[in-house]
Amino acid sequence: MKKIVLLLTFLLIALECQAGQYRIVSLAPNVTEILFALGLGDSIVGVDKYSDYPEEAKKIERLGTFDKPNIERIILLKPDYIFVSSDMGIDRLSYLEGLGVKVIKISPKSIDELRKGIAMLGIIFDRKPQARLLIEDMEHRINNVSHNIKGKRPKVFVQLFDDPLVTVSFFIGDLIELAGGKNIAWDVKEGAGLFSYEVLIERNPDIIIVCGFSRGMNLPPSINAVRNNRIYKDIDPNILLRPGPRAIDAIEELNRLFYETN
Amino acid sequence: MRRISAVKFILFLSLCFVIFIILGFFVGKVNISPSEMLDDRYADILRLRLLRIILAIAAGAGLSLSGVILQAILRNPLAEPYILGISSGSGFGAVIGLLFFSSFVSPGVLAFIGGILTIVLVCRLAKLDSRISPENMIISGILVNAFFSSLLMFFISNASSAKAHSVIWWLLGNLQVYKGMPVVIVAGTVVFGFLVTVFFSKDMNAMSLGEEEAMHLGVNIERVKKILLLAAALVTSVIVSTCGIIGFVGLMIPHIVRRLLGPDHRGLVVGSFLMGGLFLLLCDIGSRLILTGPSELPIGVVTAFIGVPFFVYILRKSRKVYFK
Amino acid sequence: MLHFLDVTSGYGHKEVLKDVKFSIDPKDFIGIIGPNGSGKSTLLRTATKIIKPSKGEIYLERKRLDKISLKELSRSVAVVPQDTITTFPFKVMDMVLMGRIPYIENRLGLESKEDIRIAYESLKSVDAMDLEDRYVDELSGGERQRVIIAKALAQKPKILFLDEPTTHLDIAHQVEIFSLLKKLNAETGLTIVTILHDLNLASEYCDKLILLSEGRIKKQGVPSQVLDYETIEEAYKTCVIVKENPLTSRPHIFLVKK
Repeated sequence: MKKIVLLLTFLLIALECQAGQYRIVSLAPNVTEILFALGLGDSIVGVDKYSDYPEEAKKIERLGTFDKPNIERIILLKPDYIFVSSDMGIDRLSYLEGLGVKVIKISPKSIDELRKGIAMLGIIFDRKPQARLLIEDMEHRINNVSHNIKGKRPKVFVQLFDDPLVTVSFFIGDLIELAGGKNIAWDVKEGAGLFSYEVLIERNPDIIIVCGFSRGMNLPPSINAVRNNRIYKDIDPNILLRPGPRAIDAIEELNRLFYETN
Repeated sequence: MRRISAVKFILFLSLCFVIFIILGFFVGKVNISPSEMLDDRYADILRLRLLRIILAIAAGAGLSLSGVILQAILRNPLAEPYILGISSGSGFGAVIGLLFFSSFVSPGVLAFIGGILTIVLVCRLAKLDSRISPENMIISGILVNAFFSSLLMFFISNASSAKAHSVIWWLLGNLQVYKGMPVVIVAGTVVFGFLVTVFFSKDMNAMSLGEEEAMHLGVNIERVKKILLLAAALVTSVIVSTCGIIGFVGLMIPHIVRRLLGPDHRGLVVGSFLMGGLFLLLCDIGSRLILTGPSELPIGVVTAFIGVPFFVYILRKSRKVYFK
Repeated sequence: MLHFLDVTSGYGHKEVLKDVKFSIDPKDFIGIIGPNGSGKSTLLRTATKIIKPSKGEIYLERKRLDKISLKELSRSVAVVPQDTITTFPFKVMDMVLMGRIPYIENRLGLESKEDIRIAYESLKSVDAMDLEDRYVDELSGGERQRVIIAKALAQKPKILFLDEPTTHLDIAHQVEIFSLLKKLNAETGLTIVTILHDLNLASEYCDKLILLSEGRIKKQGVPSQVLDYETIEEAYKTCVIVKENPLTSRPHIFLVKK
């Protein structure tokens, strides 16, 4: 009997170690994706409600949204690290840091910053080789895409919402440039906002990427994208708008759309 | 502050209108020099500016009109177009539209239905012995408003992040529209509401003495109230469903015009209608000048920013209490 | 002129006025008296179509009241309330002109020269021509009440109802208002029906009194008939002494300290 108890205890301890060396809470879907890509999936003890990739992420405990996380649950989970994509309120932040939790903000605005973020995570969690591999793969694929860029770069507009007209250039702007397009909303402040129809007509995009909640409606018929019927609605908004490893998929997809011959 | 003659005031506003409408064509995100104005290249942009000018005037005029009506019926200085919950009712309609029916109906249609249903509900709740009491209406309005706001928040917090964002963008709203149809509908409804209200100006005067006093003057107040409330609800809902929630205009303009012209609704209705239109046009032109770059400011931000100092100035200048 | 035939009326299911029967003749100056809650204001509201009677019939000049539209009624009956809301500070002249609303037929609500003439006339008959350009919210209590009477007169009524028109006024203004009403009654033959709390004012100025108690008419007739100490003590449940005013030989009521 004693032996069995002892054996079970050892087994449990072994399992505990298996479950991951760290206790991580990720309140940012892109960080969740990076952590999984680095093989740290089993160290994640809690995620925000929007973390839906990869499939395994859906099985992890949900802790609400990044701006209103369930603090009580977070405390009970006793994490070592919390990742957020935007600033947490100062009172919450200092409270959690008081408990000995490290709160880290990762919010890449470009592929370059994404690379730095991945490298940083590799250093923090002792996954440097994995991080290097991931970054090399990304660079390799981006390099491949760049060979396909030829001739005049198409002007691209991202439509996030149609009435009122809202665009986003945060991160996705960089993807468009790397895929060989020219983002016409490069100068939108704060990375997203109401966009002027007048400027849309003036800058005359060749391609419109419809994402988020837009239906690709209310577009002036005079612009090239409408005239040539180059309005794309079928790209998964999560890969376009989420600064994670799958952004490279988005670049490849965009590149294909920009240079497809029709 | 001395009261001024309504006729002079209206003539003055008309003159301002001419100036600002012309200005409205010249100001925008894309610089067009006067000589290029008639160039074919810019036809589409000028069309946008025209629509925007019409929509700004119609929305400002309609919200002020609605404010005058509600202040007269409720005899409450804080009455404004959204006091009876039209904003949250419309917002809720829009959310339902965006979340569940976005593939077949535009959210504006459901917002409009939501707004009208809200006012019907409020009137129902406020009904006492077959008459609608203004005091009950304010309370019912607050209740219905709170209820729909909570539903609105519930749906927003449970939607996916993209959808939740869309709803917030929608609620903020702006005066930019591409299609002509919504502008025609808004302008048409506002003009219709204006004509109805002008016809009931003297009844509104009588009602400002109290409901029984109005009846002693031969005014069938229950009928008049219903017609005017419906007009206000119609105008407000149409505006909300096209432009989102534009605050402050409907509260402020009637107060300012009352200070300038006095409380007689025959001047007040026409004066507020014109002044409201002019004010929102001015705010829109201002917003296009303030913000450089391709971004647009939500118009509600501008109305309060420009409106509050002006309102304070008018309040300080006339020390008289104009609404007890 | 105005006949109440066994009228019962109230709010919802609560009957306030029960089986009331009386008649008012042209040129009458009638006072309606009675303790608080006896149904005086309900009677006035029923007579002016603000509330509908649940039983009985009311006739105004041989026409049933429910057959007369509010607009038609407002051309023959005007009301001076106890207190007028002055939420909106109208000018005195604009206020008096509102008395012409029942006669304005054009939808824009613009007054004719005739309307303005009648408004001036009304203002003159209450001796308030000097107030013409003032704002109603700046007037004293007595001035305001005269303006409200002028507004009512601008309706060219045959009957003028008043609901305790002098409650907030000092004795000098009380006398001033009632002398004015008396003058209008005598000179133009205007029928006046006024609710009164002050029994001595009622006694001095009214030709006929209707005493209400618990929703019923306790007594009606000339003041000397109605105002005897037994009737008053029963209606008001308090002791009084009734003496005759030596100047007018009308009854005068004295309070008795408990």
